[in-house]
Amino acid sequence: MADIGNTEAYEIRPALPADFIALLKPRVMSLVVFTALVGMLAAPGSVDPVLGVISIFAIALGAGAAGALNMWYDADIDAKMSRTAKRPIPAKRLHAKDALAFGMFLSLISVMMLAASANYFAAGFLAFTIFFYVVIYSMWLKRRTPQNIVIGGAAGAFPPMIGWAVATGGMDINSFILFAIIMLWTPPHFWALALYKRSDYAAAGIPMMPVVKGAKSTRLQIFIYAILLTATVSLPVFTGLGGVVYAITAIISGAMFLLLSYRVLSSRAGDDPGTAKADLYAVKKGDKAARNLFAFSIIYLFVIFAALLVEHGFGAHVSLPFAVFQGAL
Amino acid sequence: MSEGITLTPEQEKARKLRSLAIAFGLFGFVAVVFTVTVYRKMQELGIDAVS
Repeated sequence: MADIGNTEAYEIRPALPADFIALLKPRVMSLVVFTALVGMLAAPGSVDPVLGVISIFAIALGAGAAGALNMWYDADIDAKMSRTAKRPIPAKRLHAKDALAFGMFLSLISVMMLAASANYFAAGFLAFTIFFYVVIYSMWLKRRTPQNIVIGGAAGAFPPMIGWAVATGGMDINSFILFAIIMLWTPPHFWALALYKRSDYAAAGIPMMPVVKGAKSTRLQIFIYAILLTATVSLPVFTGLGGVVYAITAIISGAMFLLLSYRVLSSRAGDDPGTAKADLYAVKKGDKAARNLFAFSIIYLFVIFAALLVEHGFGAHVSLPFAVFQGAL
Repeated sequence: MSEGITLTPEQEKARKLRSLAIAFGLFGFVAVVFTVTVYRKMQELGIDAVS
């Protein structure tokens, strides 16, 4: 509770709506919207277009709420990292308690909205995702274990399953494959970033893999995850979820992902933990391979899901003869 | 009772923008709830809302 005698507590900062929007992590939100949309369109059956749009909006709002709650909880470590120091709370444009209230309010609204526009299962799933991201990842794992983003990555991987649940009211093997793709994509994506922002994470006391196990071990793990990821990305071809467009996209982009991961493996990225640069894509000498993989990983996930969107959203789905499990699932 | 706080023009402008954002947000929420309610009711009555 604010102390009346403390004039600083009553200092009024000119927080703008844009600061509240920044709390929602719009870039993460856009990825959530995209993957949830693909999940919804790729699912069997059809969704009323208007209710579908509202459902996606509710999922986006839920993702934004989780982002705001994450920024509330992580304000102290955000202030220590060059990449996050300009966020509204560490930059003192917003009070942390405002972010908490905003996040809680949006969480409630988004779950209620999804319950109304879709079904209770999807709404419950969204509530669980927010809980997972804020409590399991932000509060529990992030500051305790180098496996933080391996397990915490599940929060970012749930949106296509929620989208699927909007359409079907449940889940199946294909929605789980979409989940697995994002889950396995998360470690190489974030560890590539952590390799060239290692000093940032170390300064903030976050036990990211390069900080705890070193750059060499991280580079090897990135490569192992890249193999697991590209193998998992091929699964939709066998279940019938992915058709010709998807298969071609998966092969070309997967080969590129593996190549860039191999370049990271054979590089010395992260060996020099010198001061990290503030810009997301700015790197020190020797860290380029990690930066390139980080940048491409975003494109990779996008094209994989875009291929499914083209096939299921625009009627371009042509099954391949490899779809041996089609119909059995 | 006055709190004795005088806002600067910049703070007043920021407050106005926040108020507008809240107003738009509330209006949007009401519109969404109304739309969902109407659509759900139409579905219950077997009316195709799209065509």
